[in-house]
Amino acid sequence: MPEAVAMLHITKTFPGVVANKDVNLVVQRGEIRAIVGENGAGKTTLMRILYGLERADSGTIRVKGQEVKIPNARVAIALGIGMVHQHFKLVPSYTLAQNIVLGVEPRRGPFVDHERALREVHELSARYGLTVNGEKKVSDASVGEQQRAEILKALYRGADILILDEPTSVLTDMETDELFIMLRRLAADGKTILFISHKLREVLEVSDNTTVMRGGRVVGTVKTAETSDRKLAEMMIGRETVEIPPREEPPQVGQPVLELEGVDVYDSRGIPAVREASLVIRSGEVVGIAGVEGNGQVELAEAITGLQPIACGRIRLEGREIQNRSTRQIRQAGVAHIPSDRNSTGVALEAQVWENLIAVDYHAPPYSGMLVLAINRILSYAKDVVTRFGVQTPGLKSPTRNLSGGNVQRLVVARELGSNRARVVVAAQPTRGIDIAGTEAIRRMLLEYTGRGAGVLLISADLDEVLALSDRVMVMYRGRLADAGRVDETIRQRVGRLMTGAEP
Amino acid sequence: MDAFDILGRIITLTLFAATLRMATPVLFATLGGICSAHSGVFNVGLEGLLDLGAFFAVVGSVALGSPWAGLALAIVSCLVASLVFAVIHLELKAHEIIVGLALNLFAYGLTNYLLVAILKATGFYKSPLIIGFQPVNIPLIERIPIVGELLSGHSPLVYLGFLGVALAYVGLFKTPWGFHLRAVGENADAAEAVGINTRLMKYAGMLLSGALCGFGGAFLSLAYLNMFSENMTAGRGWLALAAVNFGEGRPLKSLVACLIFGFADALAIRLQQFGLPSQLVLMLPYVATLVVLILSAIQRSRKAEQVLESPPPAAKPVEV
Repeated sequence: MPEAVAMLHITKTFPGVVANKDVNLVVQRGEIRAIVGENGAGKTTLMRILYGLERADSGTIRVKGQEVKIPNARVAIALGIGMVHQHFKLVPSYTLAQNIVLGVEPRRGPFVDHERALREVHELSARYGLTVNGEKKVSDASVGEQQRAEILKALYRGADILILDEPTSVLTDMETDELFIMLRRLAADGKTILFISHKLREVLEVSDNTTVMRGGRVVGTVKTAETSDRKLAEMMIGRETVEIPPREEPPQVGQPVLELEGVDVYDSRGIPAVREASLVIRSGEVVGIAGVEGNGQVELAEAITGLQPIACGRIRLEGREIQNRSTRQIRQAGVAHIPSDRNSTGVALEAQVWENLIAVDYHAPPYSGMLVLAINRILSYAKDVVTRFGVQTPGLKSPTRNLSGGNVQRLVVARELGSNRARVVVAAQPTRGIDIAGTEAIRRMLLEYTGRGAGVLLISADLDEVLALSDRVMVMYRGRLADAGRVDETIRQRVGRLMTGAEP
Repeated sequence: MDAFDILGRIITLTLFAATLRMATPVLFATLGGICSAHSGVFNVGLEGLLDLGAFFAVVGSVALGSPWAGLALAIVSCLVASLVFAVIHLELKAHEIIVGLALNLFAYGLTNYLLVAILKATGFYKSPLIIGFQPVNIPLIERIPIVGELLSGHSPLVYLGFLGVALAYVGLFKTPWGFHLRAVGENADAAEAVGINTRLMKYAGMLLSGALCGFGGAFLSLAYLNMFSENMTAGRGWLALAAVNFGEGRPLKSLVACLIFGFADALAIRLQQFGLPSQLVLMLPYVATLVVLILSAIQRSRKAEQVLESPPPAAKPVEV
C-alpha cells in the first residue's frame, strides 16, 4: 500500500505547553487509523497541523509521497485532505446540498446551478452510501445527517484523506454503527481515514491500526486486531508515574456524609449519561472516580451539586435528601464543588478576584446586609484566603483573567474550601493543566480537608492522581459506577479492567 | 359632499404615483440594509448615509451642473463613509450598532457644518443652481391611460430603485456571489472553513449598502425636492431598517413595506391639502412603521408557533 500521509518529527509548543513532541505518524492509503489519547494528549493539535489550522514549530509533512507545507486549510483541501470538525460548520438556513457545494458550487452562466448541485450531491451520496436528503435544510436534519453532509463536503472537494475529530461524540449508538459502516466503505474505496477518539470500544471496532498518544508524544502504534482495550488503556494512562507519596494512615472514617442511591441523569439530548449510580462517602474519606472521560463523570458531579436534575434516585447529605434542590440550597447544606472546567464554570474571568472569591457566600450575612455588600469584611476575608491558599494575584481587585491557570484553580479551591463549611467536596479534575507545585498544593489542601471530617469525591482522568489520593476507587464506564475497592497493590489492574467495561 | 366624494378626491391616481415616488428613497436605503444584513452586519447608519448622500448630491450638482454628477458625488461620499464604518467595525472590532449610531450623528453634524462652510447657508439651501433630475416619460407606456399616469413621468431614480429590487434579488439569491455572501452572514465560521474570504464579503456588503444610500440621498435632494435642508431624511433611514426587518432579507418582501411607507407619506401630503392639521397627518408614516413592525412580529410569532407545534424529532433508542 502506498503512503498517504507521513508526519515526521512534528513538534508544536503553545505558550507554556508542549502539545506535540517529536511526533511521527505514517498512514497508508486505504487505512483507517485511530488516534487515541486522553484529553490534552495532543491528538487534535496534530490533526490541526495536518489540516493547516496550526503550524508545527518543526518537522516535515509528506502527503502522497510529496513533501509539503500546509500553511492553511485551503492548501490542505487542494492536497486532498478534508476535516470533519467535532462541531459542524454548516449554514443553518441552507440545504444540505447547498452546504456541501458551498464555495465550489457548480455554475450555469453567471448563476449557481442548484439543480446540478443537488444531482451531484445525490450521486456522491449514493456512491459512498452516505445517505443525505440534499433538499433538507440543515436546521431540519438530524445530527447524523449533518455529519454525513460534512463528510460529503470533504469528498465533494476531492478529499481522499479524511480527518474525523471525535466523530462519535455527538452521535447515538445507532448512528455510530452506521458511521462505521460508511467509513469502512470509504476505506475500501481507497480513502484514508484518520479517526480521533478516546472511546476504546469504537477504536477497536473500526480501525486497522491505532496510534496512542500521551502527553504530546506517540506512545506507540499497534495493529488493532492484535491489541485489546486493556492494552490500549494501559498505553493511554501510562505506567510510569510521578511518585506521589501514598496516603498515610487513613484518618478516622466516620459516618456517611454523602450517599447516592440509584441515580439516573440524562444529558441535554435526553440520553442517559449516568445510570443507577450508587455510592457512599464517609466522613474523612476520599473516594476516587476513575474512568475514561466522557463516561458520565461530568453529569455525575453536576447532579450532586445541583447543576443538572436527576431523573430518579436519591442523594443524601448527612442523611438529608438534597436531590434536585437548587444549587444554592445544596451549597448551603454543605456541598462544595471544584468544577472540571475552571474557565467556564469555575470562575467568571472578567470579574475581579475578590468577586470570584465571594461568589458563593456574598448573599448572606456577614458579607451582605439588607441592601449592600459588606465590602470591607469581604475584602479582609478575601485577603485572608488568598494568603492561606497561596493564590498569586496582582491584587484582589484585578480581573481574574490576569491570573495564570494554576492560580485560577487555586482561587476556585480557596473559594470552595476557604469558608470551612463544606461537608462534602466534589472535586473534578482539580489539577488539570497545572504545574507540579500547584498540583501538590491542591492535593494537599484536599487531603487536609478530609482531616476536618469532610468527605471528598475526587473525579479525575488522571489515574495516578486518583490512586494517590483516594481511599477507595470506583470506575465509571458508560454511565455506570463499578467499585474497584480499596487502594492496594492490585488496584491498577482492577481499575484497568473496569475502565473498559469488563466485570470486576 | 358625501364621504365617497371626499374619498374619491383623496384617492386618485396621483396619490398612487406619489406613493411610488415617496417609496423610492426608503427603498434604496432598504436595499442597502438588506445587502449589509446578509453579510452579517446590521447597519443602523442608513439614516446618516442618506443624509450624506442628499447633501453631497446637491454639492455635486451645483459644482458640476448635472444631477448625474450630483448622484456620483453622493455615491462616492457614502462609499467613503461606509468604508470608514467597515474599517472601524471589521478591523478595530467596534460594535456595529455603536459605529452605526456614531455615523448618524457624524453625518448630521458634518452636513450642517458643510452647509455653512461650503454652501453658505443655514438650515437649508435652495438655489436655481441645483440642477435636479427631470422626469422621464416612457414612450408607449405614457400613452396608456391610467398605467401611463401611474408609471410614466417619474425621475429616473424611481425606475432605478425598482430595477434595484430585481438586481438585489438576482444578485443575492441566484449568483455564487450572493450564495457566498449569505453564508458569511449566517455562519461566518462555515464560510471560512470552505475557503470563502469572509472579511472581503463583509466589506462588499457594507460598501454596497453605502452606495445604495447614495442613490436614496440623491433622490431626496435632486428629484423629490430640489434643495437640501437640515434633517430632510426625516427618519427614512430608520423606516428602511423596519423594512429590512419586515422583509427578512428578501428584497421583494421589503418592497411591500417600502410601498406602505410611501403610501403613508403620499397620503399625509395629500391630506394636508384638505386642511387636516399637519401635526396629525405627518404622523402617518410613523404609524405605518408601527403597523409594519407589528405585522412582522405577528408573522414571526406564527412561524415560531408552527415550529413548536410540529412534533419533535423522534429520539433514537439507545443500546444499553
